[in-house]
Amino acid sequence: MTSRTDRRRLALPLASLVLLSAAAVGAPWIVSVPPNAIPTDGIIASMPPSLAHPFGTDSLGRDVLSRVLHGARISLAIALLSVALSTSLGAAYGAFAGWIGGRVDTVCMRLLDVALSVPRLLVLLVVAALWGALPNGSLVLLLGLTGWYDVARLVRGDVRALREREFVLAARATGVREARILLRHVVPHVWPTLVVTATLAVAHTIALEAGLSFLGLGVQPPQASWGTILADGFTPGGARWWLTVFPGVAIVTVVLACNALGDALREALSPRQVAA
Amino acid sequence: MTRHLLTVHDLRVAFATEAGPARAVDGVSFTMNAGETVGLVGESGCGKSLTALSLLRLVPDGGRIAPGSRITFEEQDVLAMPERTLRALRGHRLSMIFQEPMTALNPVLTVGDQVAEVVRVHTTASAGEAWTRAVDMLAQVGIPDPAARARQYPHELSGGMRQRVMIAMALILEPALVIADEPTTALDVTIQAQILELLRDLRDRTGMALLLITHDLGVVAEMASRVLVMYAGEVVEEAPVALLFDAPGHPYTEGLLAAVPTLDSTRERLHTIPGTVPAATAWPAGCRFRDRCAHAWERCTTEPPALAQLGPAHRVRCHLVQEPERRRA
Amino acid sequence: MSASESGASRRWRALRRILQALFVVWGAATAAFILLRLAPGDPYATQIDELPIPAEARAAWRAERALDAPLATQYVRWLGNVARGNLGWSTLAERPVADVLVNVLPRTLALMGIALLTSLAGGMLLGAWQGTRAGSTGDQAVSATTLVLYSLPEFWLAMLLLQLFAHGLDWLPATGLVSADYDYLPFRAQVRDRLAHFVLPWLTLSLLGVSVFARFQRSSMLEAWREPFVRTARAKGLAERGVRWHAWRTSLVPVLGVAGLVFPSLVSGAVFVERVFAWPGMGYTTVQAVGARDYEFVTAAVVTGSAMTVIGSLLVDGLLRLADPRVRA
Repeated sequence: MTSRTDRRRLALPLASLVLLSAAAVGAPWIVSVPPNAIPTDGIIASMPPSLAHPFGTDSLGRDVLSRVLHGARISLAIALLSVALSTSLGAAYGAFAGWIGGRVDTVCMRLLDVALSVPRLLVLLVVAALWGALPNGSLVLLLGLTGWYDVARLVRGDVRALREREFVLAARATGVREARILLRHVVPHVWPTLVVTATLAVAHTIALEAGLSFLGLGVQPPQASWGTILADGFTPGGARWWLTVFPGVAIVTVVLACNALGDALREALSPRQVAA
Repeated sequence: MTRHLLTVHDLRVAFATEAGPARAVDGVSFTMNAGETVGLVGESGCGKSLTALSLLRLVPDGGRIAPGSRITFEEQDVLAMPERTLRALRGHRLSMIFQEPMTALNPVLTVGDQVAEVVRVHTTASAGEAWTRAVDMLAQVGIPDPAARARQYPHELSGGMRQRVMIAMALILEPALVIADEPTTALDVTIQAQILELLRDLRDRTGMALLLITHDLGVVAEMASRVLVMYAGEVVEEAPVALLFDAPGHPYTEGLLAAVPTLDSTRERLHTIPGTVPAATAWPAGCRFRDRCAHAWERCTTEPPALAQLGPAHRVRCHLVQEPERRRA
Repeated sequence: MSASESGASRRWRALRRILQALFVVWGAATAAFILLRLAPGDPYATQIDELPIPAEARAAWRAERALDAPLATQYVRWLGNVARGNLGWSTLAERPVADVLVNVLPRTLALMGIALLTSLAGGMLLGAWQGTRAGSTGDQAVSATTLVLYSLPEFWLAMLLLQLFAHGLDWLPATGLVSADYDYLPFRAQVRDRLAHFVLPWLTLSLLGVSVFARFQRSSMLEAWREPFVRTARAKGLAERGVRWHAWRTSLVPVLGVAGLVFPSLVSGAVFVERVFAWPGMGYTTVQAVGARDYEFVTAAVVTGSAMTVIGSLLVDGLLRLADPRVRA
């Protein structure tokens, strides 16, 4: 049951995400300059925005608009894929622990406590230190493998609560197979949690990937990602604003849209909606 | 004519809802004298709790007391008084006991603090004095080892003990009028009797007036001298308690009486009245009870009955008062 | 229910909590060890194998660090060293890791601690203010602001503040712990210099922290605001301030619960912020160590970071116990 205000709160963030994704997919057709093209005739230096380069150029004279749009493809792809991975992992782990219950559940949760107390960024830093620059595929894997703990915990809580509910007990009592109960009763109840946490996780992962790339440990130059453009613009003498503002605004737009969408979804999908 | 302690005149409370305004309390008038116990009965949703909350101007968000309503308490106009005066009144001269003693008490403060707070807000007593008075009051409401109990939190007390704390809080400053909103509904039957007993004792000792809100006519029979019956936002019958039980005038009251539980039986309420209270957004035209009434005829669908005098202290909102021959056997 | 009995169970619970914390730190140390050995070759491959030294020297070097021993032996050795506070040798600083930590860790702890306190204080005030006037223009404006702040990556906000306050307005120093001429300054100027360098890292973390806590405090306050005990507080005659205090006091419980979960993000926030402001704390040093492939420092950082998280949540647990009598048992 989505009311009008709910729909309005969903529409704006969704629209901005769709728009940005479209711009990312259509990047090669929107801008004519390739993201890594270093001018052969022009100036190999960072210039402020002009008609030829609406977002300016970076320190190698590359077009920032093109880099931001092409960077969107990489940043969005990495975030979406790794969140898909972490959400499935977390859902599987949480559902397993919650459904089995008992000692298995206790052990699973203690392990999760350990995992949750190791700050994720530090794990990423260690891996970066040990293996050096990672290809984007490994980056997706790494972000996915370190991002599933919260989902697992939430799903486990949901599943545990469901296990005790009458309709599940009734299904069990009438001899319905476990797999079928999981599919028919548990999955429909858990998916709102998954949708909301996945949306918020995309926001978080976009920011995290940008941060890693900013530190030089994520997407590797010369590839354009929002983090690498920011890193290029960040020099001790003060940033050139167009290198900070444009990719930064792109990041914030996605993160903000995902957070707002997550909030709105949580309210729209919440089972205990209060009638006004 | 003696001055009344409380006069409620044409009280109307409405809520704005998506389905239009809900007139939850719709023209309620009554009076109370000092020291008197009045029962206010009716099914849930009839507006009795809201009437009580209005007396303290505690109508929940979204609700509004309509202009033209008047509440006079100790000769002061409650609805017109400034916030400050109102606060001085609340908990001091006019206090309230709520239904659910678990949620009505703050879970993270000791019960002693919560009782003492009333003293500290309304008097110049020091923290120490207020605490001593609170412990003293807890003893008066029958809490054993009150000095130790005062340091405990609501979750550490039983339901009955919590309700005693609520009562201590409401009565510590000996108000002139106490409103008790279903004070025993959330409790076990045996505890209910104890709490009622306590309320009666304290009333007799302090001489306070008591407005007892309940859906339980058994409670009313034990406690009240006069009864107001509410239905669909209106008072439908008002009578001294003996008269009401002997010769109810309104078919709704008859229905209620047919379902009176005794304290030792399991509580089945109102099963003799078919149907439910209509929605406050769409009161039926004519008599609001007519769809559930065994005696209803054409007049009931068109003309809303007025509260008519049936005896000296007996008023009934029913066309049967004028046309008793319409009553079916 | 004697006092000594509950005291014993309380001690037992505290002990269990501490054992759990130790288990978590052990787990983190094990994870760090596994990561270290998962790397291609051994962690010293690039350091040693590229040097033009005889193979025997290499082997001797490895034997000295027991890298040729079975994995289990290495693991036990590693745990023993960690437990004794011997965290290895920092190739970047050319000092024992523990020595470097003694230098940089207090800075980061101060930064995180002070930022956490400001975040909690600011967030609680802001959220509580919003919670009592939900839906108003002011609430919506603050909600929008905190949502945007909440969505800013730490390093980007740090860059913006750096650009604005250091490069643009030139009010505050851009980078470092102290100015170059720090040693030549009189004491008071030294203090001011240190504080000036502290402002921007602190401000960045605090702005983000305030937005996190304000969001939680708002929803928690909103929930508390609807609780019946708020009505009770009003009925007692409390002024709005007192009523808000009742709700706020209760709403703290879930907010403190959240505070126990923010430590990991506080750690990563410190890493980014210290990096942008070149503020040589734990985070900045870790990033440098990653760049220099200083494995032992980086693994020590993981163990330290986890320990900080665990100790932080232990502290929050203690606070929670103070705030909520229901978990005290």
